[in-house]
Amino acid sequence: MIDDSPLRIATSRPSRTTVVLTVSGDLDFDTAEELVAHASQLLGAETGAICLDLSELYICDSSGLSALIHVSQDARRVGATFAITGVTNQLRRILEVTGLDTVLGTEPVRAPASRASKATT
Amino acid sequence: MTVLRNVSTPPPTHLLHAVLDATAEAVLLCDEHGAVLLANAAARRLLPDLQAMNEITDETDVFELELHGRPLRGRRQPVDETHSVWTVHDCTDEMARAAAVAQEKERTAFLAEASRRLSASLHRGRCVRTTVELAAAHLADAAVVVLPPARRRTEWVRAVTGSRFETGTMRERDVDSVPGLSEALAGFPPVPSRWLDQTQMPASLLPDGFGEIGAILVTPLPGNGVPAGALILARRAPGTFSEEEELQARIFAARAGGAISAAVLYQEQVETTAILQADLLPPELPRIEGLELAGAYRPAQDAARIGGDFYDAYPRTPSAAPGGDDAETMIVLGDVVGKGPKAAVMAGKVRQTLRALRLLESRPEPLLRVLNQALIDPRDRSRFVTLVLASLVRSGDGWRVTCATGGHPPPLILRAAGRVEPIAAKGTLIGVTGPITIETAVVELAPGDLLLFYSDGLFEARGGVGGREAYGEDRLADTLATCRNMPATAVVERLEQLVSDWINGAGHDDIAMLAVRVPPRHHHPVNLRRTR
Repeated sequence: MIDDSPLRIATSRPSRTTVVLTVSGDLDFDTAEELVAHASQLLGAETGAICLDLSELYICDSSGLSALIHVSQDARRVGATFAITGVTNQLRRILEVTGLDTVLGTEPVRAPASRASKATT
Repeated sequence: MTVLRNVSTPPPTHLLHAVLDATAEAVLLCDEHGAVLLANAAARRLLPDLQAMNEITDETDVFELELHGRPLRGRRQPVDETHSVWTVHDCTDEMARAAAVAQEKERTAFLAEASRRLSASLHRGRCVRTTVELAAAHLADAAVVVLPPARRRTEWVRAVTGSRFETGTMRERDVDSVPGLSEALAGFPPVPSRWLDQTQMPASLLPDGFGEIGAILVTPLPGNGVPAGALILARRAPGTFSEEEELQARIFAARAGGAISAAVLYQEQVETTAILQADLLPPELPRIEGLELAGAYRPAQDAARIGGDFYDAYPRTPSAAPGGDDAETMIVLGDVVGKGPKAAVMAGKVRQTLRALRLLESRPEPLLRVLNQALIDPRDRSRFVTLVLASLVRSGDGWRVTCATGGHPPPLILRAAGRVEPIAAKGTLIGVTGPITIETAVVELAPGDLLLFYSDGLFEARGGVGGREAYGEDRLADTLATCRNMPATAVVERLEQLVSDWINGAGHDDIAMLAVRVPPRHHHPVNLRRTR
């Protein structure tokens, strides 16, 4: 398959109410909207939790951070918990500097291996 | 109903003659001396001068020649030892059809070429010039594009076959005097060339010495809603433009109009963005007694995608209210999320808010909290700004810096001795959430110490060997350590150069940095501004 977007989003549903998005590639000015649109499509009243696995994320600029905030707020609106996993060292540093680790209300340090189970917590 | 069937007896001679006469091809029966023994009706019509045949028959079995303006093609077939039959074919219709096909091919090729050249530029002037040059080369002896009147001036661009384009303006009266022009500029469908009186065309629209005009054609250049202009074609040869030529001119005009109006839209957008972003350009840094300031701003390569990096420096300002506190010296450097006009508008808001707030409050932390409250937009809580605020007051022969960050990398200190220290300020980004945490740091700057403020474009600049590696905080700190004893301007220049080498021409985000240095003792303060 030819995919010319530098951002790839894979969706999985470990349980009926949990959505896991594996976000890989570049989350930046050009692609941030894709993530927001993709997530808002999946979020509904039945969503209990949405989890973003960012272990394959290569670039995350300010527009990318904005998209993460956007998704977390959309999740809150429908009453779903929001979590991110697989935070790389580089992204963790960015989240620390911006204070987003607190704002997003997540513990963005869990290993991606535990993503499915953590997403439901 | 006629029934065809085989017959056994040959028909009489007069019927054979009739059969020969009925064929469209000329048929001649010749003997070995070339004497014509028999010629059918087509032969007598096509080749009234049979002598001409003799000259050919000696040499070859096939021939092509033009006789009385008709292209002919002939072939000889021997029928027995001494006799041969010549069949001669009139190719006039065939040739005309081939010519029409060739012409059609040429038109298609021209239109394809026109599309290619017209779409090569988003510059209105270049699109218009390409239009007249193409039209003068392929459609007429002269082509003039008249642009829609703007600010009471009507501009034109023209080209004459084989020479360069020229530009000029025309008066309103002249627009009305060109047959069909005001209609074309108003977007009405084109008037057939035969209805346009070429003698009414004002001589000023064509260059001196163009000569008598034989025919003109005026076609609107369709645009977005309003026409992008009108195309006037003029030729010297008398007579009108043919229907095919008019059609071709209209198709060409549609493509040219599309290209020109796209360029106009683009230009308007670029201008609007430029106006908004003029606010983002680095300000002239003020002269602050006892500090060297140097800033650099490296905008993103793509002008339409300039981001929201900005910095400002304010010198100590006496209180506006009687008895109030003076506003302390303040440095701010920030980065608004996103790019383009949206980012520019938000950056403008942030800067203006800070410019006013600092007159009331010099402490960075409360300042950031008020700014945060002011910027939160309940409709869109994902737009934010990250920034660092530093308030500077004199302290002995150095300065005391109170620094707070709102989600921004804190400044780095380069001590006079060459050690690089991070400032331990930390805070939440501004504009997203009501409750924010801000940890303020206070540091003392001694003579020779330098403080480097930078936007994340600096450490996120992608490049290196693989072209995708971030410059990174550590590399930045290491580089800064090599700038010991350098004046602020030189430090900023060096960092810019090294980052530029790192990204090596690759696309990058905006990069802003501001260096503040306490001049070493016995040193004259330098206060320079650098922009690029």
